[in-house]
Amino acid sequence: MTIQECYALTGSNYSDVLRRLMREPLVKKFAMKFLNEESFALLRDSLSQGDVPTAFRAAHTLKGVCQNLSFTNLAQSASACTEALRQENLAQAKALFADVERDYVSLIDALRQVE
Amino acid sequence: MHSNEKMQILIVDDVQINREIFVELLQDQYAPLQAENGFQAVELIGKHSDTIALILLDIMMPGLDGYGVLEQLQAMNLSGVIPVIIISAAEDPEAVEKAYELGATDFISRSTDPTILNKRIFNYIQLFGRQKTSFNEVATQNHRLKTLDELTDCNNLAAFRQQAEQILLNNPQKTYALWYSNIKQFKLINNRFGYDVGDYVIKYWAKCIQLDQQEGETFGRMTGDRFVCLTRCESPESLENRFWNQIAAVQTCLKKQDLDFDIDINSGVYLIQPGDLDKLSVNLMLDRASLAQQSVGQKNGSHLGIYDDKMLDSQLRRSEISKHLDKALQTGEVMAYFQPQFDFSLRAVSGAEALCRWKHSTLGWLSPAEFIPVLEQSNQIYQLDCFIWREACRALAQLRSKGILTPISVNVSRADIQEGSLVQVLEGYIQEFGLSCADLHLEVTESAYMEDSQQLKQMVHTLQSMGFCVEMDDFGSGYSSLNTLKDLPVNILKLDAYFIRDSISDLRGSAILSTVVGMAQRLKLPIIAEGIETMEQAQNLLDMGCQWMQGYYFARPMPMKDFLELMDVTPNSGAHHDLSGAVLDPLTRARQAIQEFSALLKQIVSSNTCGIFAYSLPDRRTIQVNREAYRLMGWEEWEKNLEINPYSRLPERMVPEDRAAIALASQQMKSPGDQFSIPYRLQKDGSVYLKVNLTSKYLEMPSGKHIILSILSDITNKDS
Repeated sequence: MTIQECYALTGSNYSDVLRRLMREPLVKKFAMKFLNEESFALLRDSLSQGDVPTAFRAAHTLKGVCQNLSFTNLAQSASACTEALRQENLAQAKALFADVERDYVSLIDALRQVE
Repeated sequence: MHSNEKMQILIVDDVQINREIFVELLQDQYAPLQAENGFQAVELIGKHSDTIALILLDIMMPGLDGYGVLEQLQAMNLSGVIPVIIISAAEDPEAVEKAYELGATDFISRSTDPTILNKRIFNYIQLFGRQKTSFNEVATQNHRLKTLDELTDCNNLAAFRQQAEQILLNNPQKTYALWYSNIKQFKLINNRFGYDVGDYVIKYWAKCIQLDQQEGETFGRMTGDRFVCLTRCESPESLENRFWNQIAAVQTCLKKQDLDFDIDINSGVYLIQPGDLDKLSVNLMLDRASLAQQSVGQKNGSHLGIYDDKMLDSQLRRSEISKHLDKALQTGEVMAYFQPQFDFSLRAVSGAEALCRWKHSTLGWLSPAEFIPVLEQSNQIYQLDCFIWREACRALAQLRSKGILTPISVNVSRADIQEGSLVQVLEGYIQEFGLSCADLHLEVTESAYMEDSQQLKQMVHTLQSMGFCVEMDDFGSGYSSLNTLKDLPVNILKLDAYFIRDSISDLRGSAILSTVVGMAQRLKLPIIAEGIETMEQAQNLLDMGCQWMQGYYFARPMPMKDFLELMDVTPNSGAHHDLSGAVLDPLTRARQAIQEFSALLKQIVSSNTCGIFAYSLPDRRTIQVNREAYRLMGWEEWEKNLEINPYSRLPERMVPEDRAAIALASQQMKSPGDQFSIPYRLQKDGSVYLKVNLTSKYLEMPSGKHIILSILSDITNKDS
């Protein structure tokens, strides 16, 4: 699929990111870099270890990157998780992480299919 | 420009993608340096403090975070020397505030548009003087700043005036049009979509005007969303064409950028005839174009107005009104008139609204529809309202001296709410005339509420807590969402006249109206209906349950003297719009009665204070029986969950002679109203264990159904 279709499929905002990066190849270049972004794995691991400060930083980073690339869905679920962690509410953060994981997995799947 | 001439920008962010995006966006114009944490950043700043023109700084980073970098900058005495823009999500205001305290220059969100990002960076570099430019460049730069509009790069007003004058001087024989245009409701665009989008719209519009320009024409941006333009003018029709083409061009441009909303533009044109420049300056011509622009008003859609001399007359009239207000207030030209409000169910006066009337010494009677907008525009409405409030208090004092407790309502405009002295002024009048706040009702228009202003809601709360009664004026005229009513700080609704006029005659309108009235009652909000002109309207409203009314059918607004005389001879309903004694709409009345009665019955049936059973005739079907009745009949079927017909089986445990007496009495129940009351005993294993009194009554229901209702009470312990 094209990068634009990938955005449409994953609840991401293509017109927004295009407005900023201005050219499709650039959007694709940066979006594909997201495959190597490690904050999701760090968030998952630190949540399971109950390490709230690390989890908070990871969630915050994930949110920032997603906002930057207009991955709107994932940015939103990561944002909710960030806020729970800001309140140091681990239980709620873990519950909200389910959404983050769902959005992340669907995004990564779609990105891998971009040609 | 060679890369070694580019200014350096330091990008500090721990996430690689984020840094790379900034590099991508900035590398055309700047030489980006990157740091992935605070320590690296401080090191780079130390090395390149002379050449780094600006720092883009993320706050949250492992190790030394953004705050730490700001503190280090302070320690290095570079705070305020190198501009620092914080990269932050807008939803984190605390972080932004803290960063400002530590010396950050500004913040941007990651989603900031590249042109705006570049513009801001450019501006801050300018502002902090971090650029290295030759004297020549400085001179050009200064000239640019003096003549160019920063946002759009087109002429500013001064430059436009100069160029326009030059064009007119060079072409004395040609006809020109001077345009004054603005985007309608531009503030709303800024509010709804953000300033970034607002700036976009302005830029696109500037671009569209530019594309439309022909040789020997010029344009410029005044301020905000206002543009001025000088074009050749062959005919008024050609102006219309240009106007609509420009709007179409802007719309297309916005659509292309995925900014999917319509904008409307109001333009005014002054037609410059050959020789005009001898009589009028470009400034005066612009005034006239602006008058033409104002003349199209606030109608929906885009409009083009062309100046004619009548507009100048009306402008003179407006300025006469505005200038004359002080004197008019002193000389009694401006008067408070009072329009009584009636309680139609009691046929009594329930209040009055104080209104403003103005008999101008030279212009004659002025309509409020004319002078109120003028005074609103000239910020004099508060002065006028204060006068009316004081007059209303004076009238109230007169009423109170006669023992009449009727309240008077006055209008409080949105502008009044913003006056810092509002509370003191109102309090002052109340004290001056020895009144209490509850005497004065304050009408605030519905549209003011809908603007969702915290300030307004707070002010209304303050006024209410002081004891003022706040009425929502013009309810139903605009944006009222029924749902928002429950949260609004308001004591009384005033139903808008137009709502009523349209609604009484047609069926749907009438259904909506009666629903609104009924709902207001359930919300315990009294309604005063305004603009009642006929007996029919009044009667309809009363039938719907709205008893308070105001309108020509009852009385026109009248001078204070007449009003006070009227109050002397007319019954009045006292001080309160009291809903507890109010007429309810029929539906609410019926619903309440049914609810209350069935609640009562439920209570009786379920409380087991007595046994109840009822069956219908002639089919003898049980229609109501409770558990206590089973016990008092000596049956255990309730426990076994069996359905039986109590009538068909007189209790086996009943002492035989009692059973015979009951059977006999039952047979004699033949018509509505017949009844008996007989005690009986139940026995088990040969001994009496329960004494019961049975009262049965033959009833005819409103539906025509015949019913025997039996009530059984346990009297075992009563006789012994």
